[in-house]
Order: sequence, then C-alpha cells, then structure tokens
Amino acid sequence: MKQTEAERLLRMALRDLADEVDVGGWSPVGPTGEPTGRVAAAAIRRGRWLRRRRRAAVALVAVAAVAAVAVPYQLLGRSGDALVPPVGPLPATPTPASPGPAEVPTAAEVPVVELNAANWADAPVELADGWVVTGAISQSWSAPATGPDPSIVLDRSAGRYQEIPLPAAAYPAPTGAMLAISDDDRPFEIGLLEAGTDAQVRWVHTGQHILTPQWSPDGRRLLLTVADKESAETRLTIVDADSGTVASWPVDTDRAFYCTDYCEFTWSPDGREVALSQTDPVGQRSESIRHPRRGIQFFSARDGSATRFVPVRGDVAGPWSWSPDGSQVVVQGQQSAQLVDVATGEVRSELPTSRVYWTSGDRLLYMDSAAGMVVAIGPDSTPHTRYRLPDRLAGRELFLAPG
Amino acid sequence: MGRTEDQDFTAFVAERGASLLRIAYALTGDRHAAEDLVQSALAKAYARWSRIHGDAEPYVRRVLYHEQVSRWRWSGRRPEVMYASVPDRPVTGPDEHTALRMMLRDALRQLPPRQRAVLVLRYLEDLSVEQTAQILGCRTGTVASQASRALERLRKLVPDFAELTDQSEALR
Repeated sequence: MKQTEAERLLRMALRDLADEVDVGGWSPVGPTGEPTGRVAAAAIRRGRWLRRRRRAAVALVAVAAVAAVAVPYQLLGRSGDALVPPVGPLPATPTPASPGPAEVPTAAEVPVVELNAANWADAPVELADGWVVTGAISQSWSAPATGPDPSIVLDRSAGRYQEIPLPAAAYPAPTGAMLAISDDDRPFEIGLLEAGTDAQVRWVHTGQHILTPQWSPDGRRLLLTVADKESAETRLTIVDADSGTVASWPVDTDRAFYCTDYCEFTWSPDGREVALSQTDPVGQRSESIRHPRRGIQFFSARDGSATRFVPVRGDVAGPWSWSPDGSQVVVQGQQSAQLVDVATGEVRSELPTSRVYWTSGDRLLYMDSAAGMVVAIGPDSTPHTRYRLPDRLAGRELFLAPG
Repeated sequence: MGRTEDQDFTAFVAERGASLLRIAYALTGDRHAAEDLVQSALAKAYARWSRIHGDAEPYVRRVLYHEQVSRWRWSGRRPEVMYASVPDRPVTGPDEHTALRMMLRDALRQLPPRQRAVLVLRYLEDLSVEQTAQILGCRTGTVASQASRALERLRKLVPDFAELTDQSEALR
C-alpha cells in the first residue's frame, strides 16, 4: 500500500506531538529498580486499594450467601463487583474548634457564616433558604496515597454525613436517600444505592452515558445522556429509581435537534421535561469557545417527544438553574455565565458561574472552589452571604438541595 | 501480591512506562492529564496483575484508550487545551512541510478524544482498522467514520493539509 504524502505528514505530526512530552523527566521507578519511583509506587498503592475493594465485595457476597439474608435489590451486574461495603459513618476530622454556625462580618461587608466546625458531619450543613449540602465528590483525577477520595453524602434519616467507600462517584438525590453511582469501570451501567442502609448497589444497564447523571427534582428519576457507540446515536435516557426501569429515546442531534460541543440533557424545573441546547448552525464557530446556540429544545420526560423551544442561547446546568417561577434561567453562554429571560432570550446579567442553585426568587447559591465557600448572590450577582465550608467539603463538587 | 510480582510489575513500568506516556500525551495533549491517565491504567493493571502479567501491555493500552474516551463525559468540568484560533503558519522553518507538520500537530490537539484516539491508533501505533476497532470496542465502520470526521476537521483547521489530501489519494 502506497503511503501518500498527506498520510506521511500526519504520521510525523502525531510523532511530533507524542515526542513533546519529556519522558526523561518522568521517573517510573527508583534508581535501583524498586517501586520507589513516583508513578510505579502510586500505581501499586492505588492498585492495592482497588484489589482490597474487590476482595471486600467478594467477601460480602460470601457472607450474604451463608446468612441467606434477603436483599432488597436484584443484582444486575457482575456478582463479584456488585456488592459494596455498607456505608459507614464519616469519621470526625480534626478541624479547628469553632462555635458552630455564626455570622461574622468581613471587611468586604459580606457576612461570612462559619460552617467549619469540628463536628460538622453530625448535622446537615445548612445554607440560605433552608438549603443543605447533600453530597460532595472529588474533583481530582489524581488518587491520593490512600486511594480515590470517597464521596460524601448526607444521610437524611440520621441527619449526618457518611462516606461512600466506593472507587466511584456517588450522586445524591435531592430528596430521599437514593444515590446514583457512576463507575468508570462500568461505563454502560449506573448504580443505585440507598444511603444509610445495608442495601447493595443495584446496577442497571443503560448504555454508555456521558457527562454526569442528573436527578429529577423529586429525586425519583435519573436522567442520562447516552452516547451509543455502535449506532452513533445520542439517547435521552431516564431511569426510574424505584423500579430500575430504563426508558430511552434516540434524539437526532445531527439534524433535527442539531447539537454540538456540550450536549447534555438536563431536567426542567418541574421534572416533566428535559432540555437540550441547540447549536446555531449559521453562527461563527471556534473551538476556543463554546459553540453558538440558537435556543433550548424541550422533550417530554414521559415519551421523549419534542415539546417546545425557547430562545435561550446557552447551556443550562440543571433544574435548579431556573428561577422558581420559570421566567429566568442561568446558562453558560459562549464566553460567560448569564442570567437570561426565558421568553425573550434577553440577557439580564452576568454571573460568576452557570452552576448555580436558585433557592428563592431573589437568591442563588454557587460554589467558590478557590475560597472554599458557597456564596449566596442576588440575580444581579450582588453577593449577600458567604458560607465557609468544612475543610472536608471545600474544593469538592457539591450537591445542594432543599433541606 | 508477593514481592516477586511487585518487581515484575515495576520492571514492566520501567520498560514500557515512557512509551505509554508518549501515547497518553498524544491522546491528551497535556502532561498532567497524560500522567494521570497512565497511572490510572497502571493501577488497574496492577489490580489484575496475576491474570494479565503475561500480556500486560495490550491490557494497559486498552485501558488507556478506554479511559481517555470515557473521560469525555467529564469534559464539562475538565479543562481542555484550547486555542484562540488555529495557530498561524510559523514564519520560519526549513521547508513548507515542516510548517505544515507543526500546524497539523497543533490542530491534532483540537480533535475530540474519540477522533484523536482513532488517529493515534491508526497512524502513530500503525494498527489496522480492525485492530483499532478491537481496542476501542466498536465496529470497524465506527473507526472509519471517526477517522473520516477527524481528517475532515484537520482539513478545515489546516487548509494546506486539505490541499495536499485533495492532490493525493485519500487517507485510509
């Protein structure tokens, strides 16, 4: 087979790209060949952690079989991996003593509520309008020495926080006790687990889902954006948390509902519809910024049919991005986060981030990761209150919900 | 896992680590992301070492590619390597093709993970369409379509490359 000039150039460009990385500075092993090198040692540490988890899971299977304990859920995945250790109480972390939630004025005249008490995990971390932190997952891909950083969730029945001892992210439902478990090792499945119980993960086959699972506002259904490799289809997929039933509909994102770049289904605020941003096919597109949008298309969460279109030009993060009366929404525009009028598409203000929780008519919450705080702002972006998070939660991706 | 197996694993990392890092870098275009990817794949390999150690490299490579493509789902909160515009043609260089190579190299960074993975497997690792499909766990038709989309995007990003592909037979 004759190699064309174009092919030869492409091969050379790929080699150039691969050669950019300085492998000389990379130390996979120590000078004597022992696993003292950073990479080999870290891989062994994390690998051992993975093995321990698997062994624990297998041991639990054996115990369950001997005791003939009735389990509430049918296991749908590989038996050896399907069980997980029961969730355990979160150990107290050594944090500086604090008098507990108390308002302290700052020089910037934005009051700071201190939530970083030593016993913070013993009660829901409460924010504005009665909203609470329901969970937190690590934002880092790098495993610490002790293994992947476990997710932390609020056990509402016990009124305290727990660690979920899984090498996977746990997404808490905004109400109730259900958790969605997303494991990179099981990209075609989603796990369902009831926090605060000895229940086991129920793995449900969904197809390969991308981005993050999203709970409906009532905490009963899970929305997934499924990208089917074989058919190259994008599918709107909804899992009923109680029954484990999966409903899935293909959405033609190549033509009828043209979407490029960040294409993620998100819940409407009432949980009856699902939103998908639509790319503006004639807008100028650059890979350096988000693709231009022409609006948001809604689909029925009951049967996947298209329902309505609104001229909101941006990407919406979730059901809490909408104002309580539904007239305004916060989206990620091409260059900034914006508060937009739903009926007209008019931009009302710019906000620090599009990942907000609209808690009341005039209050929104967002996470300031760098400061380790949740900030309450008005629709015009004016800060009202800052909440200093417990050290254990700061810097993580947080989930908030009404208390 | 006993000490002998630890040594076995460590020897594998010493021998193949740099090569794996090069591939990971070609896939991610970012050193930290590449190291993260390799470390994650190696950890999974270690966890299953007793079963795969005789044939570890194909396993690790499969994990590398799968992880990179599946990490696409997290792209909403992961920084990407972005350019304000397609890099300009360098003003200096020994010949026109050197400049073209540099522009192609930069354009490769802008491909989505799946498309880049296909090109890395096909043109850096020199695997066939069938082998590429096997590693990525998809059909050969999907490999072909992803490669086609990738090349189409490269042609748009680097017009001189488009001219070159127009003049010659299509890439396979």
